[in-house]
Amino acid sequence: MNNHKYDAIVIGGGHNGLVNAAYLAKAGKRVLVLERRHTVGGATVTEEIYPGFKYLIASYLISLLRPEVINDLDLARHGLEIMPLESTFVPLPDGNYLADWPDHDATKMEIARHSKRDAEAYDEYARTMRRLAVALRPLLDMIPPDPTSVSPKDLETMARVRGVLDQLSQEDFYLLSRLMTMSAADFLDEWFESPALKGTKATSGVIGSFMGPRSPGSGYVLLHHYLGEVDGVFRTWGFARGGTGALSQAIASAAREAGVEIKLDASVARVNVKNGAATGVTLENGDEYSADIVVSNADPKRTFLKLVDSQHLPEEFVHDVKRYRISSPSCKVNLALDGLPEFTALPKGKEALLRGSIEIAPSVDYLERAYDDAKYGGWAKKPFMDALIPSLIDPGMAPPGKHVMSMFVQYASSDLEGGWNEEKKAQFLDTVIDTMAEYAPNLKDLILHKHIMTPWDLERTFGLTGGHIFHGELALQQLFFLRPSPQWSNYRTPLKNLYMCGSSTHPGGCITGAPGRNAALAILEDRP
Amino acid sequence: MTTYETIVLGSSPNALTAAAYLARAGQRVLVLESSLHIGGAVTTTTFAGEFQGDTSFTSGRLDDSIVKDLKLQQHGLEVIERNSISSLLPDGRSFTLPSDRTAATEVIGSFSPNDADRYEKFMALVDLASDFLKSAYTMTPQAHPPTAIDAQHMMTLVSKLRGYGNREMTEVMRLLVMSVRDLLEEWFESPQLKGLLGSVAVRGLPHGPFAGATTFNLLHHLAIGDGYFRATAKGGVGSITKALAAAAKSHGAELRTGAGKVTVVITDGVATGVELASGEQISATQIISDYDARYTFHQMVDPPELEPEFNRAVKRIRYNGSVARINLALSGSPEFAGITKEALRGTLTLAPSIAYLEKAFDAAKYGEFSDQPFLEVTVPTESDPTLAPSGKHVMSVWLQYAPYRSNTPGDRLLELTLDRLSQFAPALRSQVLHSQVITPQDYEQQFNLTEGNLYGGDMTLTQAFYLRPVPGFAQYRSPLKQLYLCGAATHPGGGISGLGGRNAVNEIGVRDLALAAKD
Ligand SMILES: Cc1cc2nc3c(=O)[nH]c(=O)nc-3n(C[C@H](O)[C@H](O)[C@H](O)COP(=O)(O)OP(=O)(O)OC[C@H]3O[C@@H](n4cnc5c(N)ncnc54)[C@H](O)[C@@H]3O)c2cc1C
Ligand SMILES: Cc1cc2nc3c(=O)[nH]c(=O)nc-3n(C[C@H](O)[C@H](O)[C@H](O)COP(=O)(O)OP(=O)(O)OC[C@H]3O[C@@H](n4cnc5c(N)ncnc54)[C@H](O)[C@@H]3O)c2cc1C
Repeated sequence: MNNHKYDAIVIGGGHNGLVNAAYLAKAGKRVLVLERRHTVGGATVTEEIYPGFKYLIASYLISLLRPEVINDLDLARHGLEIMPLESTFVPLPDGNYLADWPDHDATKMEIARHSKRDAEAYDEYARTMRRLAVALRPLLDMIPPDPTSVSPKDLETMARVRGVLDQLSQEDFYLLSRLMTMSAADFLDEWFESPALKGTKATSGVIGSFMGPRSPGSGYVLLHHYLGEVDGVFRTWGFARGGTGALSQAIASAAREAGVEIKLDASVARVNVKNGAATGVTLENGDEYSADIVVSNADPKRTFLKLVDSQHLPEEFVHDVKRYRISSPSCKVNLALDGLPEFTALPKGKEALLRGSIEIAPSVDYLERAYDDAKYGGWAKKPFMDALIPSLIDPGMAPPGKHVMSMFVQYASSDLEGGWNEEKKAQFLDTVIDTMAEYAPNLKDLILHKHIMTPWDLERTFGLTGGHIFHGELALQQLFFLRPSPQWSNYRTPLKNLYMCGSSTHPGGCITGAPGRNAALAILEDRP
Repeated sequence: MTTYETIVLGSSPNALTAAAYLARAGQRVLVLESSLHIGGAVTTTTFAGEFQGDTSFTSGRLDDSIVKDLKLQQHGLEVIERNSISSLLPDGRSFTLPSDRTAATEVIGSFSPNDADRYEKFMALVDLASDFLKSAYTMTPQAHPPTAIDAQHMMTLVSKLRGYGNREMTEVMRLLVMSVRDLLEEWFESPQLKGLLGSVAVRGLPHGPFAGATTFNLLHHLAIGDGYFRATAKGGVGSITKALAAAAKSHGAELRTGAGKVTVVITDGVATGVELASGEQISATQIISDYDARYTFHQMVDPPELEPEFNRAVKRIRYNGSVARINLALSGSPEFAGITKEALRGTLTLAPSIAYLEKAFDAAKYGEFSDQPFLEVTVPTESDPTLAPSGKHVMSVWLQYAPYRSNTPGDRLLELTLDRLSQFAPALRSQVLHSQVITPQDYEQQFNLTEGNLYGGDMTLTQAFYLRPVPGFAQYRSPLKQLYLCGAATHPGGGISGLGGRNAVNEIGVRDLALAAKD
């Protein structure tokens, strides 16, 4: 049996685990990252499943990555290159389309084609969302306060939170209050009238969440997706050269440079506990590693119901973990294509639109019906899709002349009635391809290889409980000081020396690096 | 031209509460009701010649302090408790939960011992959360940035929360923002129990139980004493408004019904009186509207009198009336399989599971109407025989979701309701002598309730507290000087608590009258 001693062990080499490890190492800690897969990155990964074609089997675009992380870890030097995603193309069932161009005036003219009023409202909408996002950004980098605590530190943080709210204008304060609890559809109805514009904007309110655009609560998710750096390094959603996996590789490289040791194919079986404190971990193969502290990048259900023996945890906390909502409707499809799909709705001369997002979200009702189909344990007969042809942005993603297509798909329930199996996977994959083929009829003839990640696969592959892409629903009762559970939102846990650093902690899911970074700051508060 | 100090437009419990308190304080008060009956939609009227039916709400209770302050018992108020809730289930498996918690636990234990174990703890938690809400309900909501009084209110509420204990404090905060499906899944395993307990959370809402923050609507109903175990008054809900009217009159208030369409007279941005359909003008130093904000500001006031920004906010208010009322005159006492005679004095609910409620709502999202609706049934004559000729009965059904947009004809709603209820009460159809159906469209036409919403606007967090009725105007004032709001449109929202009226009086009395006195 091996026994090694580290200052910190990070369970999981997802992007947050890597960020956490890198910050700890830069502060002088001896850090070991244990990743159960053959590669780092977790859900931020690029894989060559079909030879020559690079698949984005999970995340595909970057926007919310904290600029601090990029700068502190010098990610550009470690190979990160992000290319802005310039357009959105929304083909419509009637053969028409809606496009969002890189050029602001072009977008306005395009929207005006659908509704003059919407084109007028668009500027104000974009400005408003930007203003709210900018105002709320300081919250992203905060270690959430405990509202029940009267410790000077918590009171100080609460005062900072109040400061963020106080600085909002009256109008923005009220708008934010409303947006937090309303549905994306209701919110968009206040701005726009064109079904296509509302459909495509509403997608941000449902991505990754088991909600429809008419579900109150989707308003917050909408806002969450606007919290990306808008006036900083990145203005909008971007594509990393080499796919999102290249970002993980860059973080891993920065971490290694800082002295982090990364072990792959190292699946942690349990967290070792002595005298009520975490002392290290034991792998599936029996290897043991000890450390002063253990940090988990896995979601709370995996961490506290599988890796930690619950006898070491307060009953109330175990209850909180059990009730944590983590059912998911999100899937990912990748296609290897022999050529470019031809969209019936795409006008000649506007092929550049294929280099951006391709969204199958023609209306709010379309999205809502897709949700309705799935919410009782089924899947959408006409799914919502957010697609991309990465090989048009980065030719390295596919062999010359060939293409890959990445499709983020909703909704298919993680709690599928009767459970998922290979046959159902194949059926849903057909549903997805059939739906896309309605817009690009030549699609099926081009397919060289197809691949789907259902919630079942996301769970099996990445250890994401329920396949949840954000390590748990971005529902109000599990945000900020309630994420992942009340009183344990500050990256610490009831088990001494065990910390959390993944997307189940504030500020939640997406490629942000914020949980990893904030957790490192909390750890370094405890152990300078 | 007559002059009053205050004219109250509308005569719901909030309006009458405001009128009674102001009259009691010595003001010369006139209450103007457009419809023929005091109470507006909160009334009990004769249908089919000799039966008494509630027009909208069939239950509700005034805040205790109002009953006491206005001595409503002396004015004829006699409360009738509805001490049980029953879940209508196929196969005679219906069950009844009494308000007594130990007894309820026993009932639950017969189908789910685990749930029985948790029931009292669950009720204790929702008690805490609704108690917290109740505290907020007796205060004027804050402004942004908060004034000194607002800050004081906040302090009171925060210390109230802290007083519950650390764990309880965060639990209460979670509850306020949760979907009721999420909440009940945390606590219970029996679909039937979850359906029954969850139904109150969607009552009156254009949302299903999966929707975020629906627990707030449950807590709202609990906070105003109209949650699971409800109450009415002898003579029907209309007796509550009658008692209030009597109290207001006893303090010198004048009441006029059948005023028809009333508009507010604005002189140089100040509300100075009202004009009736007949052209008659009545002036007053303050006008308090009990109507919802959309009706008040876009029907009773000329919108050009208001800033476009304000008009937009008023337009954004969500109404979406989703409820129809069906009153049936019955030849005898109805018999529901598995429901005792005693349980008929309580509330019967058709909400066999959370998924059932959500499905009932699914159609409504698209402006359609589900043939598997959520129903709440009462037989008020079981505890109050005065409502029908001897031996005969009145049955009253709350039908949801019957969306305003779907405009489903009343006879279709009636047929469907009878079909559904006949599954549980096979002889029902043969007992029906007469029927009365009131759709959201009817509510709008007859009582000026925008889109037929009985709550003065959806009871969602998005439209609660300092956001109700519109952000920035949650302090019962309006952009027009001397024009105030006091109805369900204002904090704390819909129901028969009277708190909106009393809060409005406090607010106007405490702040504005004090200011006026200084001028
Ligand atoms: C299909 C899909 C599409 C997405 N699209 C986007 C997008 O376009 N843009 C965006 O910003 N976000 C997107 N997301 C969300 C984003 O990818 C995630 O929120 C983020 O990657 C999570 O990072 P993390 O480090 O917190 O956790 P993860 O990436 O889940 O990392 C956890 C790591 O822990 C490892 N692990 C778990 N258990 C053990 C164990 N016992 N022993 C050792 N290792 C273990 C796992 O293998 C994994 O590598 C998407 C997610 C999915 C699934
Ligand atoms: C897991 C995950 C995956 C996602 N995947 C994608 C994805 O694949 N593709 C994608 O696009 N998004 C993705 N998103 C985000 C979301 O779906 C939206 O597409 C995204 O937020 C784009 O926002 P928008 O178009 O609504 O932005 P808006 O704020 O409406 O702006 C649209 C564009 O117009 C420009 N603009 C607007 N107003 C002005 C102005 N006044 N002056 C100058 N310029 C202006 C902006 O710069 C911007 O480029 C994802 C989110 C997550 C979490």
